Amino acid sequence: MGAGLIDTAGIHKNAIASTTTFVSRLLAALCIAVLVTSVVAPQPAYAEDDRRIIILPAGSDEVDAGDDYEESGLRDPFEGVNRVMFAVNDAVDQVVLRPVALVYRTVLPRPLRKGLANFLANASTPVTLANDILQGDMKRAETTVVRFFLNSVAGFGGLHDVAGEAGWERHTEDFGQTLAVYGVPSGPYIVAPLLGPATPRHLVGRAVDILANPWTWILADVSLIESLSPTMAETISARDEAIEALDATREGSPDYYVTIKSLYHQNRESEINNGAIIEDDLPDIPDVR
Amino acid sequence: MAQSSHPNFISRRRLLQGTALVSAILLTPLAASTEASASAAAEQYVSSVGKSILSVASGSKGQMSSQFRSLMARHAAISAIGIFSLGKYKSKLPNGQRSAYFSLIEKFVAGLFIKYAPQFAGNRIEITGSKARSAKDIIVSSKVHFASGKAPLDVQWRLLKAGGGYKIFDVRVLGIWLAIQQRTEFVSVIKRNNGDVGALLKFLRGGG
Repeated sequence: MGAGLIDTAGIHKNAIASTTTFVSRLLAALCIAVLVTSVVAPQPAYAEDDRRIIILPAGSDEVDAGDDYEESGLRDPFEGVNRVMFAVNDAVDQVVLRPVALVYRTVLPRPLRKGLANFLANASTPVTLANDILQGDMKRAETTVVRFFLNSVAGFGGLHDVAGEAGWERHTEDFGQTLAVYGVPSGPYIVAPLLGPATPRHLVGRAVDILANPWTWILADVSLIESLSPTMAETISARDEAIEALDATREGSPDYYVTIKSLYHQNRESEINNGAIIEDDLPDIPDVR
Repeated sequence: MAQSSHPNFISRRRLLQGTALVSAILLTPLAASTEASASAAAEQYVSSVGKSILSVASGSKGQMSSQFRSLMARHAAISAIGIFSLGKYKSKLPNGQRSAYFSLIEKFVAGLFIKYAPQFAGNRIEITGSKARSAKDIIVSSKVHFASGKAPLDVQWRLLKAGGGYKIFDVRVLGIWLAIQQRTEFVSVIKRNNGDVGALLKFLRGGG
């Protein structure tokens, strides 16, 4: 009886410890994952013929047109705090992430780096496929499935993007985009410590994607460093690909904070619309004589 | 009373619908033909300018700035871009500073082009479609292909129809409209300097 009580307590203790470990891993994974989207330059968006209609609630802070367009980008009520956080993140990027990416570039030849990037992209298929389906876009879901099987089999486990070469272009989807398609507003712009530029909607989407990704659970029982390896590899790989673009952006920008915020916003909107142009959202061309 | 007027209402509505349908059938081919020819001309224009830009981007770095500025002078709607980039502060630009400001923008954009050129220097441009936002505002879509096998890059060109030809007002790369991006940055500089457009001019001159 006593032993039973002790065992039960032990089980509870283990369960709590396990949960705590998992939550801490989840948070760490979330930090690194969002850092990719925040520090790294925008990812390619793919134009498609279909135009998605997004219904935004009245008073939405996302869409406007005309002369006041720049005032109505992503609302930034916490700009003071955001600028401080941005400076911290930028320092971490310059001191840690960029140098690591440079070493990675020096050590690995380009074909290997490309192969790793392809492999990681292939491994992220479950998240993209789930969100393709949640958004009701069966055409893109089909593309995702075809790409996965072609690249996994003919592309040596995803190292070679044979599907892309055959015309099945890669696209990405995440739960933040799905929420946007469902009409959930983004909320204000926030720059969280280490997480970087985001919105509450984007962060919630990231957390859901991590929980829904089979790799999170497959790697749940291995050591922390092992479970975070794919995320770290993805971060370094993406930072490597963005070195020149980010360097150029930093050099040419009159206000790096505003530049990154605007790039983030425009890129995110493009991702949500699957690269399609929403013509009504475009500001008019001024009539200049 | 209501019942007796209902049939008349329906017949009037049907008459209107019928007229609209006939008008649509008669006018659509004409409208489609006009739009198609406008689009074809716009697409041809982008194809030609795009080739020139790719050629400059993959050419010698020493000549890149002057060659690109020459292309801008011929093909960019620089006045419209310049005024647009000032956002709500456009009225604060003194008339006497306009030409100097436009020239500074050309230099600024050429500087950015040199920085980004290596990443966008493809070897072929393919036009994938076009759409007229209005008679003077046309968007042409294209793909830039790379000899290295890198995935093609989607690029959209927003054209302003001026006179008998076109000028480029904005370009969208990786989902980013560059003129809109520039406007956000320019407005930020002016705003942080209490609405002083001179601060922007100072930045563009390299003194920011």
